[in-house]
Amino acid sequence: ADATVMRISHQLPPAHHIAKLVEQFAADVEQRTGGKVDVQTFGSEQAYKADQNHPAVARGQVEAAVSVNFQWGNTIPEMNVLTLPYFFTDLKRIEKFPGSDLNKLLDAKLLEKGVRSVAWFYTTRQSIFTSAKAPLLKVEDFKGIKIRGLNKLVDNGLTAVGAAPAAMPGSEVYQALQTGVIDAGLTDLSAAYSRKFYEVQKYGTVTPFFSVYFHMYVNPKWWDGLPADQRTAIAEAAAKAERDAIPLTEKTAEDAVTQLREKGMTLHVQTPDEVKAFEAAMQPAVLEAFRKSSADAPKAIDLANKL
Amino acid sequence: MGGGRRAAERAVAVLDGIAAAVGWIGVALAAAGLLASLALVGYSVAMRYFLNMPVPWTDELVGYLLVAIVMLAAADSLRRGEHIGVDVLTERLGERGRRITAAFGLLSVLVTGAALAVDGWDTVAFTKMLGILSTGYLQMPMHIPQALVPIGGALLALAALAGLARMAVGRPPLEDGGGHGVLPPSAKAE
Amino acid sequence: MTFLLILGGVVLLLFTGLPIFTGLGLFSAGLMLATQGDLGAVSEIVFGKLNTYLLVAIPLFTLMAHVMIRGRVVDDLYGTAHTLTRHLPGGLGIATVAACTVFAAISGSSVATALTIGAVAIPQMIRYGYDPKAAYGVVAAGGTLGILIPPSGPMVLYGVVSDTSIGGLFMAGVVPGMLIAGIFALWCVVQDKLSDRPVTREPAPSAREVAAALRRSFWALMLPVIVLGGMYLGVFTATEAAGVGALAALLVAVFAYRGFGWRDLWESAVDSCRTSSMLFMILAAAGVFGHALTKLRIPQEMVELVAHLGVGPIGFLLAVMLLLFVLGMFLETISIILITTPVVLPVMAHLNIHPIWYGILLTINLELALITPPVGMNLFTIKAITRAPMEQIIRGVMPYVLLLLLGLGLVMAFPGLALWLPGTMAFR
Ligand code: NA
Ligand code: NA
Repeated sequence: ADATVMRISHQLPPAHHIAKLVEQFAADVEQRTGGKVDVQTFGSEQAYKADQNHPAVARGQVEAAVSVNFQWGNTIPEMNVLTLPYFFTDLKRIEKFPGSDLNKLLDAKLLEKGVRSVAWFYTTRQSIFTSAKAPLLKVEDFKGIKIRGLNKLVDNGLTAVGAAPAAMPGSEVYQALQTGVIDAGLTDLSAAYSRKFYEVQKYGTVTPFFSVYFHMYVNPKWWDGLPADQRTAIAEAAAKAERDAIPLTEKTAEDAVTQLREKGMTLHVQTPDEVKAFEAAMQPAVLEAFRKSSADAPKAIDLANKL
Repeated sequence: MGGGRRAAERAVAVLDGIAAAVGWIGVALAAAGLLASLALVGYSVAMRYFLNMPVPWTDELVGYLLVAIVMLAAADSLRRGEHIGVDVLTERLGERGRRITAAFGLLSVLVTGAALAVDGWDTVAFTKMLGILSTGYLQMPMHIPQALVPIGGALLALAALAGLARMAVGRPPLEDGGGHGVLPPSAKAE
Repeated sequence: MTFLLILGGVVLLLFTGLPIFTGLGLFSAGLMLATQGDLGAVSEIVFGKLNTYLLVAIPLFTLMAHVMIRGRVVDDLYGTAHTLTRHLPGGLGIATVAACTVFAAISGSSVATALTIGAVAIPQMIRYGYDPKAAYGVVAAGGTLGILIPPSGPMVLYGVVSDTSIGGLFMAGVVPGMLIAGIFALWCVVQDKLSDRPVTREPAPSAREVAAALRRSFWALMLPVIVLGGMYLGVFTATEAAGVGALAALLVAVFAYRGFGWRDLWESAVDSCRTSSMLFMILAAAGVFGHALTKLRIPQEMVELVAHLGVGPIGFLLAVMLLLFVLGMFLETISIILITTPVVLPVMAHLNIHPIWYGILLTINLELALITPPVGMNLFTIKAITRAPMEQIIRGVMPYVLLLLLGLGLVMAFPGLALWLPGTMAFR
């Protein structure tokens, strides 16, 4: 019989560590099933734009996709729980997340929206505030600074310290930082290296601002219709990739610090006291907005606090 | 015979009038959308640069307005012959051949418009059922801007239908034989 | 084989003269229906292609062009260009290339460049006695510089997909951009010399004439200064520059020129919508076609085929250039980048091909895509401006296809043309 085809659409460029993880997953599935499942990856938005992956999978236009957790934030507010400032950045929490009640809650929310979640790839817990003119070391340094925001929820934390979050497409950020349309950038530590922010930004403050997950989900009808052995093989490969993501991401972030320094960027890695000060200044406003964002948001916080 | 033909011509004139009016409303809304986009971009720049208060929702709105500009102006553009085809072969055809290719072109627009209307409506219904909101600041229920696609498709189909009807009673397929492009008539090349 | 059949099918369909967007759209929908049994949620793809903030620059620059035309700002601008270049062979052609180069430094889009300059240049070139075909050609081709000379929308997209320095790509585009602009300008001179009815040359302008011309077009000349200055000083982004440019053109038309009323504004907006709608329907349909090709894994299979031939970096590059050229006949820039870059990248890394160099070669190919029939967005832009038969436009553009291929060959033969400038800075 013909091989089962599993097409995976995602937005990540091929060099991103999670894109490489998805490729490893693809090879792993093909190996475990002896080629009975043919996994085809469509990265870099070549098939669907990031926000089109959800309907494409739910409608069965592709079998699977990988999306970033906070992209769901308005449709499934609970998905933001992983990305609250200084909240889910403890490695112990990240290690306990797979299979936890919080994981199950989020999976159930996704199923309500027509997709079955199969793996959570931990992507970052280290962010970097970048700037060109002066380093952003203290909470006060953010006053009046135009900074690229993340989304409506997280931007509450930036406004709480007097910064002015601006929205712009990711592709315009590099140039906006270069010409000074905005004063500061906020991004994943390793992205600051891969997006070459060091070319246009002198200073960087490394901080456990938030975590980000990319997660893989499939069309439920397709999943339920798979032969049991294929489904098991895919689930096992997904679980392995989920485990592999943790050391991979930690290593990527560690390398990024060295690489950014090598490129001449002046980096400051926040001390535990500084982290506490930032947490106290930025977290409450976001937490409050998050609790109000949906009925199950407080429950998601409680479940996260149990980890 | 003559009476039947006159009735047909009147019916076509009515259909054509409706298509023209609807097309005009579409392009007027599109123009308003373009001027609104201009104002939004200007507002966004001014707020960020002069007042240090970036407006985080304008980009998202401008994106939806772009869909509106394209989809709502498409039917009027069709009536004015703005939609370009590869005319290298058709330019060489005689009167009869040109009418056949023109009818084929209008038919293709009718099918495309109808497909966009039907498939677009499915998409809208599906998005609404799942309750998908935009990822941006506006938290826009995505089925609202998505509805522009089936609306534009329906407008296109109506304009194509009117064009075919005009041809059926021996009138030219397009309004005044096509538009003048970007140049004002006085500056036309030929 | 499938690939050739598909392309042959599209060509046949398009040459019946039906609107290009329906030709590409219906063909792609048919492909989806045949291969996966449904329309592939085509309206969702159309919506996604159109709902792109970065593309708003095109209708806004279109509006800027319309305002400049209706406000008669353009007449003075070109009058000045004519005064300055009337004593040179092919003078207005050179002036047009120069105008494209300057506007390319404002705009990241080739369609916007061809549209703005074309609306100004074509009628004036014809008025001063140039062959219409020469005017269509120089504007269509000169406009493509919009994506090679920074800023460049397609380079940003390639940079994001390939993790290549956007600053480095921008720097790398400068020298090839100037080189190709120079080749185009040189061609204007040669074309005029070869012509059996060369344009009458007039005496060189006196200092007083030059001063008078510059004074008359002062405010019009300030437009690029405002837009460029604001962009490089960080007042606004490259996309916003289109809006600021349109607003500035509006202010100049209203205050410096007078006589520009609400009615002119409204009609400029309506005309811009019609032009943009036509261009974007094609863009969306070409996007749907690219989406169908991606789902059929055609680019993937073509690249794998070439990679397995084991031809080395140069052989691989030549094959990829050929693939890009052929795809460029049918697709538009965004789709080409999205569907080819992810599949080319792994092989490129393996063969040690410099990603910035490749980015420039890709961009020159995208310039070609804009002017090669049957689907070339700049051809359609010229068509929208002039309503001339497509055949005349294509004939006018053909020499420039060869000249761009020459430029492509030069950058392939001498990678330093692209890599020298970024190499002198931090970008590597
Ligand atoms: Na440019
Ligand atoms: Na082309």
